[in-house]
Amino acid sequence: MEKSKWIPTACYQCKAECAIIARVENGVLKEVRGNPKARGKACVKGMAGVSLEYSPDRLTHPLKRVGKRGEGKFERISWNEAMDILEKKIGGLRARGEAHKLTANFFPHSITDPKWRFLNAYGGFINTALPHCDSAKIVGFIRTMGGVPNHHIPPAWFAVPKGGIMILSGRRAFGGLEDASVPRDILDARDRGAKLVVLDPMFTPEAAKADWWIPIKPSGDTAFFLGMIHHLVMNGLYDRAFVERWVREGDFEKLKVYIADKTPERMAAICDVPAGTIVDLAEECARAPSVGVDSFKGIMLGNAMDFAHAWNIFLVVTGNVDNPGGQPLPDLTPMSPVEPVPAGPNLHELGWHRTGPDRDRFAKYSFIMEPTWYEAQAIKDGGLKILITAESNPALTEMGQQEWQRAVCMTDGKGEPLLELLVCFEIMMSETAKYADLVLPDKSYFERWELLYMPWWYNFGHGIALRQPVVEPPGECRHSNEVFIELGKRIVPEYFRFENDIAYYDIQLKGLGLSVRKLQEIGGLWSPGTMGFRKYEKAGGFGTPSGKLHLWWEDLEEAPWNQAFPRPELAPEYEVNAKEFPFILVSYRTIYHSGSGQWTHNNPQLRDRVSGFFENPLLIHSGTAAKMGLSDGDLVTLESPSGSIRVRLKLTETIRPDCLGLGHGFGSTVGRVAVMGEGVSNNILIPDAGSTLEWQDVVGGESHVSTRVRIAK
Amino acid sequence: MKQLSLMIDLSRCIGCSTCIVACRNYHEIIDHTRAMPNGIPYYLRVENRERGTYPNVAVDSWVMPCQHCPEPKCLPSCPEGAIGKDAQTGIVRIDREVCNGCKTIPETLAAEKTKAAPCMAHCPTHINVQGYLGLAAKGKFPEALALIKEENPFPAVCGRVCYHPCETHCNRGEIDEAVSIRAVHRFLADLDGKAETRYVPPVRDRKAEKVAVIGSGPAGLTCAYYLAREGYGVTVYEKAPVIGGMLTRGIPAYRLPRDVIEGEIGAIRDLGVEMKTGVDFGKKITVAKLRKKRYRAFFFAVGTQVCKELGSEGEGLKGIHPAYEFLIAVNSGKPPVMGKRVAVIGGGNAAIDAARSARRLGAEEVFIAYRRSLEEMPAGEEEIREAEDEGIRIETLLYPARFIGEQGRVKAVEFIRMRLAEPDESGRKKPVPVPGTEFARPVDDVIVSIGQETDWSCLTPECACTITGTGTLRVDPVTLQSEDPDIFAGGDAVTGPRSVVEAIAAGKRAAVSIDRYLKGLDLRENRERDWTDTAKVQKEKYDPAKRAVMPLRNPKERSGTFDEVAAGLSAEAVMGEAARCQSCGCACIQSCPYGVIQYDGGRGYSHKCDLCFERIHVGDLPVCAETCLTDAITFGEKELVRRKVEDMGKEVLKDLTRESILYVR
Ligand SMILES: Cc1cc2nc3c(=O)[nH]c(=O)nc-3n(C[C@H](O)[C@H](O)[C@H](O)COP(=O)(O)OP(=O)(O)OC[C@H]3O[C@@H](n4cnc5c(N)ncnc54)[C@H](O)[C@@H]3O)c2cc1C
Repeated sequence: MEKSKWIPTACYQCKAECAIIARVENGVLKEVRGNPKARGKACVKGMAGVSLEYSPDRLTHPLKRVGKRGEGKFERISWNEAMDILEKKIGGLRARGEAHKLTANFFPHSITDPKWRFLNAYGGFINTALPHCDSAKIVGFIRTMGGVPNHHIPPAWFAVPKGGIMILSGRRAFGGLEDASVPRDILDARDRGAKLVVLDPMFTPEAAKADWWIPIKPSGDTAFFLGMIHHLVMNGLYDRAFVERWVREGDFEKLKVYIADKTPERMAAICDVPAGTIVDLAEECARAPSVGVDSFKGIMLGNAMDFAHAWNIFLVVTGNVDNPGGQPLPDLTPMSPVEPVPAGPNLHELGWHRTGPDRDRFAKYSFIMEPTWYEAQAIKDGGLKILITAESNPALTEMGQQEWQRAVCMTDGKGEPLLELLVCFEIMMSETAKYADLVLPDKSYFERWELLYMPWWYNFGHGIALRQPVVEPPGECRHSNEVFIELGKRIVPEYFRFENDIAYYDIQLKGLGLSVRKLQEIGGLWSPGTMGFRKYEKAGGFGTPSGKLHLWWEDLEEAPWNQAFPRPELAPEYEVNAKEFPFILVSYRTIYHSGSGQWTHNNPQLRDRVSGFFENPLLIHSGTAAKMGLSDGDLVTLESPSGSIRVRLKLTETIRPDCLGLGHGFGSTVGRVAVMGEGVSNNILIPDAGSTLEWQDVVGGESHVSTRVRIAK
Repeated sequence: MKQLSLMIDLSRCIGCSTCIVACRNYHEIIDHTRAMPNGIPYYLRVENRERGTYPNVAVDSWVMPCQHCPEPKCLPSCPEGAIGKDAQTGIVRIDREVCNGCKTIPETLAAEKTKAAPCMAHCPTHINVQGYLGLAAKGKFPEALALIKEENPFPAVCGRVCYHPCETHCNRGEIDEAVSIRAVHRFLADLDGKAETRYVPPVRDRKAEKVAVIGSGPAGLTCAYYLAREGYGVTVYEKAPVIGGMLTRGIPAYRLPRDVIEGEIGAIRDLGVEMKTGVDFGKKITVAKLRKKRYRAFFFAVGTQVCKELGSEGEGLKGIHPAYEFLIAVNSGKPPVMGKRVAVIGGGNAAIDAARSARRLGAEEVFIAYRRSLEEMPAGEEEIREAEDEGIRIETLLYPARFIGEQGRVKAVEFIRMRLAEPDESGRKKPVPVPGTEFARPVDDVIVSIGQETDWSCLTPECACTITGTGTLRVDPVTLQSEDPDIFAGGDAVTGPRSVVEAIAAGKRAAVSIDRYLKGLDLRENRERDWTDTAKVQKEKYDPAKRAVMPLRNPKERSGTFDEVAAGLSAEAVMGEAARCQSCGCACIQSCPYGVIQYDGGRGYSHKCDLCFERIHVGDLPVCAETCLTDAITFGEKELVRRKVEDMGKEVLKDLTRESILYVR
């Protein structure tokens, strides 16, 4: 009998991709742990990865559609046949000169992802396979500090000194999507004398452990932070030395003028937090050795750019930039380029977003990736002919999901589909796979090689992690990366002269004196061992055009309105229709689920009532329910200006009386476990950005999961 | 004994369930290829407690593993002796080789067997019936009795007079006849008849607080029993000259021999409970006075001592006796002289007992007149049958319109016939008189048994608590606390006339509340297990043995004396009868107050957390402690863990401090 052994690898139950170790016995995966080498933890999703690996719903061979799109009828085909279809169609599109009409919809694990290389070589687009999420946060940081951040860069909570302040502003930091060691680090920091402050319309698990819970009105964060900035700036409580040395000339003076009337009293009226609270927290922050701020759902709203901006200004005026406990700035690891380096599609010519009525104005916000709903638009505009999804589920993930489902089924006058080819890589049948022409059985994250390079990796600074196979894949599963490399060899061979994925990673690792084999030998992780603080001092400045911090975003002065400084108003989707739709819908996330669809929803342990989240009731404040004559368990209709769902009520004291809470990510229609119980998708309630809510495009944010709603019995 | 233990830090536990999944994976109690939500075994579960109202809310979360109790209830409940407490570590373990899943058939009934068995669920005191039947079937009588005594200090009394809801709901009844649970119960209890060998439970550390119990019926005495076991000083005040309430003063000896009651009261006295008779509480001794004497809590269990009146003409005549007063006289050995013809008005237990007592006092012709039909009669079936066997006639749909007297003494009753109309608020069909059907029946004595109510003069003006419209004390149904925080009440005084076992359950409930109240803890927290979902088990293969019949003395012989009617079963019969139990659940699962034992239907055994016995022996942490996402779980020797808590300067949350698994904040 083979002895059991622990193999280091990387989790992929959510986008945090924590460093884990996996125990294998006789070729069978048994257990998962956080990798101690990375001071790592594995959360409940990570632990339940074993159930995902052995799900009876795993796809094991390629499938070709035989019914209509969406019907879910398939026949088994060989990989050879599948590859030939792919080569013919994808190669054909490029030969037609329409390579840019191909989009691959996947989560870019890292810039080393071979799929990304294929796209750049081919000339296609990448779609994040996610809503923009916190894109505004990323853009805000790039504009202000010039960093090249990873998709989420929480403060280094393990570095928070005694007396430091940790502000979670619409952020379920205990709920995953960030390194699994974050909850421990926040609590450790609190236990050594840092303060945890939670701004949230719901009494979250974080609030339960916080020193201070501030039940703010959703999207009131901008006003709240502006109120604090006002107090700090007008009373000389800001970090004068830091501001004088590092803020671009003139910006602070402009800020002073702008902020003069953003008094705590005025801001209090917007965010529904007493002015005294705003002042108190501002003063605590001024005294504290560090302040770290994180937000996620709080920055997925229509005023996201404003909040990102206010948040950045706050960090700058309090001097919390790249300091222990403040906002870290990422660093780059010297990876070697794989020659020849493909140029990629010409984004300047084609535009970051090829479609939509406000393409040019939208470009100002420089969102890095396309959101899912643009796919529907692009199909209708004739700008998208081939769509490849991998580990993503656009048919269920995001607002506009119904429009996506309609668009992929649309045909031209001759009955030909507008979308010529839809390919889906998945480990289990999904809502999206049901529409696909080809469904290709992917390898799970326990079965494949992947080099993960993060400019900033939470628990050990910037570095590299290796995902390596710990068990054999079932059936004929192939990793999408292997397929893309083979396609590359067939269609753009000059860029794919390496043998396979491992050889490709070996080239990139050269600069570090490493190879996949060596990385394996040193335990699958490499980092310089330090994250480094105040790197700008040594570098003599920041990555912004001026080398200084930019508080004033001049290019936004002439947007349809002046947005060169953050506007304090609530998110527009919360301001409209207030009379007809009296409640604000708060979408929240639990630690059990990382999105929509199979990965966590089809996992029995993550849906089990004892160890997971089974159903998705609508949370309502008990006083509100009493006033409306509603009781626990009542089945009600929840209506937004653009849709309605049936959902059961759960009464609680842990939510603002003017809000209703709904978990995000339910509503699956396939998967033996995923379809169980009552679970509704909140996406149906969200106005489709591309079609029904024209201002979504231009305010610099998106209401991914936010809207006003009403209850009908 | 060393006790290894977990400590869960409430200020760090976020209730994320990581440990639960890690634990399942490690112990391989999940089949990943087949698992479906809400049916996967678990050794740990998350509990949450929300407090306060918006915006001043608090939520605590913690995980709940096996508590490895110092006196584990599961251990003695196992008929196979498969459960042991490891002497080295204090860890409670189930031996898989020995456990047979309580006569399980693998792969079947898995979901049912983890539910509460209906006998236990429907018993107001929730005795582990399946557990003691299993032990009795093997001849382990003392062990079986200990299981009963854990939940009920009056086994011999209940073994005789309980209305046995356990039998009424027994799943075996759906196949042929219910298991004769009460007869087994009685046999076991009677083994403990001798005072010298009687089991008296140990008293926990003595406490300074004193509690007054008013009324010495089953409710009062049960409350006294459990509080005394916890170490409180308890004084019982009884108005009557004898202790026992209706047990001694109401229920006649032919059903409940005096020495049986005395024996069980004696065991309570042996625990150090002080009992004072002849004290009419509310007169010389009052709540105000005792509060001054540092009595910190009061339990009013005064029952229903006042007989209701019919209001019919002539009710004041001589020879008309309120039933309870009549029974008190009978039971105190000074019975009134009975004439030849006796009419008893009413349909409850007391009416039957009055009739049968009258018969025993020499009345030749006794009949019971009840205003509804036989189906509505509240008296137990057995009692009705036994009364009829003794020659007592039961006439239904009759109501005494008036009593006809001669020289102040009753001589006849004028009855009117009734018919049943639509059900009234009690849900029973309402009897209405049929005009013109009056007729007279000559009698020598009449006993009126139409109900009882409470005399609340015991509550003096300093008490703020209030009485409901139906004359009972207003209390919280979960905690039995009245509007005076230190005054609790239960038994018939709160429910109106009911039963012995419900009174016992109320006494127990009050004792838990009073204990928590005196410790300053939340009275409502985690009070009740859900007893509504009970196992439905009907095995295809079962032993077709017939229900054992309780031998009764012959009616002719018995109706002349107050000696006990039912003779009891032999040891052999008891073992046979107990073996008829179908084992709807698993005895250990039934017994666990924390609901942490799992049942593996596939392999047919029960299993639970063993603190990762194998791992800790090689110096590893239990998986939960190792994997805890927030490092909220500490593991070690109980005393060391406790000391660590104190070192951390954290206040131990008492209400969550179980004996071995500690919770800190
Ligand atoms: C004849 C009869 C037969 C019954 N048969 C059965 C049966 O077969 N099975 C069954 O389950 N139930 C039976 N019951 C019902 C059962 O006995 C009662 O439900 C049960 O005894 C109620 O218990 P308790 O402790 O609430 O009150 P009680 O038993 O009534 O005890 C209350 C005590 O409080 C005392 N008290 C009252 N006021 C004061 C005061 N001011 N100061 C001090 N002490 C005071 C009373 O003297 C009494 O001793 C029967 C009842 C009767 C009357």
